[in-house]
Amino acid sequence: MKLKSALIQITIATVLAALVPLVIHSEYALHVAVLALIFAVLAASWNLVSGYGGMFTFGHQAFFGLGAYVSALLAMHLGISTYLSIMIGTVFAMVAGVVICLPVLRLRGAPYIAIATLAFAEIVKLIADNLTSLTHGESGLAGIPPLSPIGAMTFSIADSRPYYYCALVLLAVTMVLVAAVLASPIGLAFGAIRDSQDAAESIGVDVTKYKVLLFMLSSALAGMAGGLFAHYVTVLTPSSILGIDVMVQIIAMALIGGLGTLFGPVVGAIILTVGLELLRSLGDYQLMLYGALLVIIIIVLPRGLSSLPMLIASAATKQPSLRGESWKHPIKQREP
Amino acid sequence: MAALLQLKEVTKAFGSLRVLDALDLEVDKGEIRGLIGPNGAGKTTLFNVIAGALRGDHGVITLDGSEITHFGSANRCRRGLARTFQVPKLFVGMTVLENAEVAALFGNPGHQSRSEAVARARWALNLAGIGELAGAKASVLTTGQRKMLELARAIATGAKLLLLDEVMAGLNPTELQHACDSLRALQTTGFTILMVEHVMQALMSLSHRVSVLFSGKIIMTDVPERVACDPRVIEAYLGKARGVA
Repeated sequence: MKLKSALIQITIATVLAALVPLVIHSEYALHVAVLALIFAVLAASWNLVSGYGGMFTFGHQAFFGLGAYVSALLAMHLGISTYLSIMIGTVFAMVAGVVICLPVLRLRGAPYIAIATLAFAEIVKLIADNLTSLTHGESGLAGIPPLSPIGAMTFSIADSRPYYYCALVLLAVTMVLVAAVLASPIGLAFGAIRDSQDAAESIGVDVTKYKVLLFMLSSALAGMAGGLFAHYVTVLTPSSILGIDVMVQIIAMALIGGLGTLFGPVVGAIILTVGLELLRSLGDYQLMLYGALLVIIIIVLPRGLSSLPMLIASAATKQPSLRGESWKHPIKQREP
Repeated sequence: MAALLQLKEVTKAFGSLRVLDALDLEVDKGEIRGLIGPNGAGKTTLFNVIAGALRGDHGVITLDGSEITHFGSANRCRRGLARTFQVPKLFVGMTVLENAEVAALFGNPGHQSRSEAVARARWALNLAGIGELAGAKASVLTTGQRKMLELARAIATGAKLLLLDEVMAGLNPTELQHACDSLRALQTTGFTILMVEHVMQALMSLSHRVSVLFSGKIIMTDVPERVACDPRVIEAYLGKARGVA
């Protein structure tokens, strides 16, 4: 996708999303929307490293959790501005991204990368679980201050509206950043590494440098989303933010929306977060139906929901080649 | 003529198997050098050691007078050495032009703008004879086109020396003719080529000299006509002649 058209689409989507609070007045619905936007940032950040970089990490929740905990603890204990604490949390997550990237650089197979990153995330979770003097473990870290006021705009847990705009700005900035990086030579290097690391190296791409860069960018965005999440929900527990189910959710969002596409993870995050809430009335059957829908979408649309308009267009114009292209699974296209 | 690539006593072993055994090789500037040898002679290992995908255990490799022994693939490429792979490793998520553009952007150490890189990529695609495919997705190319895209990618890096690993295997006669024409054009443009090839007719007609690799050593280097009928080469491929009753 060309940068100009991507920026136009991001602008239109942001303007439309900014109108949502004017239409929806339910506090509960807005709360779900804020969560959807925060998870969209998280899924988009994972999509960078996996969809565009080809490294299937399984510990992205660690960066989200680190950003959340570091920002929450700094704001609580040092009393600094929440924006500064989120920034420090972001840097902390980015450094952690570099640390986990170093062993990953030596691994080629997807299962090894998945296990190494999962182990890292489990270590972070265990530390958060056991460092009770700081985190209060599973009893929960309560009393996290809401975001500091911006001019006349104040934040409180009773009103999701200001958080909605904050999360929307973060998502828009994330999308612009991702689109700009992908359109630059760095994006070409990422694509080359994803498709064939050997070939990328053979034509002069410094694979180590670009993989570290990819991890830094991806973990920093996840950390920033974590910081906003912490000051929005104001209570953190290790299992709610560092658990494996957070990672499963991120993967599901990216896959459903379209892995390796700009808007896919955002679409996936919105559909899954909102969809899960809509199915809540089904009680015990909620997760069963949710699981079945995921399986069906992955089978029917292996390139995600964001490929649907292209599929419809190619079916309408009866272009079999385009259709064939769209149906190829992104993972299967890569070299073994 | 000055040597562009020089290997001195290069050794590479996998466990107890010595694939390259104190191998010496020199490739002169501007020549097309063929490299032949029976299956398992170590041709691909030699290519990998020269390109930096594998590190040799001993020995020294120099490119244009500078030692590159301890450099990785990417660094060797930026110093002027590019390769193709026996099984093409294309960037299938990109277009043909983008494949060459990445090479033009990252293979050249000097800073260059995006438009310069695109221009260089187009030039490389034209040299490889696939200029008209620039907008196509790399994933839809035929075997022959894939091989030529690998060649174009290597050209786009601005390398002085091209290592071509069976670039003609699997090509139909028309594609083979195009590939031969492209390689001749490259040589006249100033590129030096070291090629492993099993399509003997093409290799013998293109190469100025041919080196024969057997049991990890270069057993001879000479003009193609003399190599083809040398008893040592025939023996390497077919084994020793026994007395027939």
